[in-house]
Amino acid sequence: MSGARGGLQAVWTVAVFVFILTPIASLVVFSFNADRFPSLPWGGFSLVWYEAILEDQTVRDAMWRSLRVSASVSVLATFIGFAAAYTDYRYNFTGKMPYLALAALPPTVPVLILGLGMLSFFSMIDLVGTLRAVIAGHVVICAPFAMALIRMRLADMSPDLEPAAWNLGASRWRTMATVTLPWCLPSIFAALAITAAVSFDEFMIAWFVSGLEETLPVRILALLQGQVSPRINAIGSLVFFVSGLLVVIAQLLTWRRGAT
Amino acid sequence: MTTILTLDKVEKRFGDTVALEPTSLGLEKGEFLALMGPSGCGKSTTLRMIAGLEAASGGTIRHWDRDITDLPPWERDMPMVWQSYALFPFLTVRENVEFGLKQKRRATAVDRRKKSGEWLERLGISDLADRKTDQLSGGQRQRVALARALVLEPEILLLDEPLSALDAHLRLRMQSELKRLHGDLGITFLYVTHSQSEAFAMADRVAILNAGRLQQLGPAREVHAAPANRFVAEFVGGSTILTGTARGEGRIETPMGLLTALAGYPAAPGETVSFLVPSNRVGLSEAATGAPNEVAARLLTEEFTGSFVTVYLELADGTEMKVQLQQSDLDALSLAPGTPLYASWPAEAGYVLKEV
Repeated sequence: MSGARGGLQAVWTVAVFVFILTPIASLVVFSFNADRFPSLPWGGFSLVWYEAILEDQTVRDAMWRSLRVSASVSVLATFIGFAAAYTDYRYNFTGKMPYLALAALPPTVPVLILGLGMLSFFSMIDLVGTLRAVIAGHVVICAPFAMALIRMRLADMSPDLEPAAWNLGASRWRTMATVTLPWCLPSIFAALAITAAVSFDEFMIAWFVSGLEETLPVRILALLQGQVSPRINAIGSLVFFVSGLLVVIAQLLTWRRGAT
Repeated sequence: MTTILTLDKVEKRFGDTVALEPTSLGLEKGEFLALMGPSGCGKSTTLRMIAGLEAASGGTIRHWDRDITDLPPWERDMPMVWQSYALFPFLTVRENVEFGLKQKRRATAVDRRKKSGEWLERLGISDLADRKTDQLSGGQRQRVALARALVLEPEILLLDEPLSALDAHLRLRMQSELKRLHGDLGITFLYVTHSQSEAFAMADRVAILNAGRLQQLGPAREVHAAPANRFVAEFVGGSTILTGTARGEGRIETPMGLLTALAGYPAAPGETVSFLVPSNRVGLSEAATGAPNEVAARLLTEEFTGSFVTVYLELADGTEMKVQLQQSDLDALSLAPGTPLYASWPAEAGYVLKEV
């Protein structure tokens, strides 16, 4: 009875994963398909669509922009996230709860609203259509993720550790550099990876504020609107690979922390 | 004796709660002073203010003649040994020990290595030098914490309940080791603990705090023999406290009869007083002997603790009396719970407290 139940549960779990992963798997599979149309039977293995996108200057530019944006965003968002998490760890002040709620708020706001809001705000300060606008928008949604990761790590730090460093002659800044940062390092790397991943495949905000400075997800949609080409599959696979890699890195970093 | 550290009316308030009432205290150079009391008495707060980790709400702290009240912790030379050890988990044992030297920039890399090596050797943890601290046992961690503080060659070492996370056996060993280290180094130890046995075993002087107030400061023996008040007597333990009305010349009328206590505070007739009966001065017998200070009692329990036996009696007014006897003294008595007994003690052993 329980064996049959367990078996059913396993089948159900597999079915759910198949349902979730099939579109991605078919995207990757058909990106290597020689045929023009993504249909069975398979027309043979080919890298022609990858060649096509790598030769497409607009895609290459978009890819380069996305990489630059996600690199800047990961550093900025992780810095802000660390600062917010550390403030929470070290200090007690009135209004701390609202402060933390505010710091964690952005991901709960629908991105459509965020995107619209940023569009109107950035146009007031003449920032629309620049990569800086995309970076600013992404930092807003990414910083809370960084804060959450680093806060979790700080919560495990003995409250005596920093005072012990002060007591041994290290000033506040020296303590930050020699004790606090080394302690947080795994979570800082994880935050860098996660925020880079979130930024790399973020579409909505980039679509609103990037103007002609298209990032890769924006470029993909533009391509889709023009024609249905297997090149989309190739780009999609690349984006999936980059984001997936970053998330795996973050997972490994937080894992190792959990093990020790 | 010269005073190395002076607390002058130092106090600490957190909002409306008083952690430490204005307290003055002098630490003599080279002494081992234990600051003790129950949890929440203000002893750790006092230590943290001396280390600069808490700001004093009032008063001044002086190191020799220098006012250090507002000095940040990293500018005070008072390394501390923590109850939680507070070792840096991402550093090796040797790097932990060298941490302070590195911050203070007092030594070159070669010197640091030499000094840390000496202290690791001295505390018997040389072979752990390259381990990470999470691979160490509690006792080993405590040694690393000690080495990390002592390598700075401080004038004053602060210790915050350093032994309370260790098991009983290890605690005793570390106690004698700390005591020996203190003797060898000749530096001043300020030791915070809630355990009177630790304090009495090691300290030259003890300071007892309760509810943010200093109750008594003096040599361990003196505090033990002549507690200043009821709190100290109870905290130190080892005595039974009886209460009655003074009738002059040391005689005190109690529910158990007229008793005599000659030591301590000379109470005026009519005053309500408390007096101590040291548990190691009481003798027991099965029949009344007519000795002075003899009271009828009923046996509650006995507790065998190795070389001696602790017997708990109930007196006529319900007071629990503690008596400490040699095993040989007990052999003469037949002891079963509820047995009626007579307890007596010499009049000069009774110690009258100044406060009720």
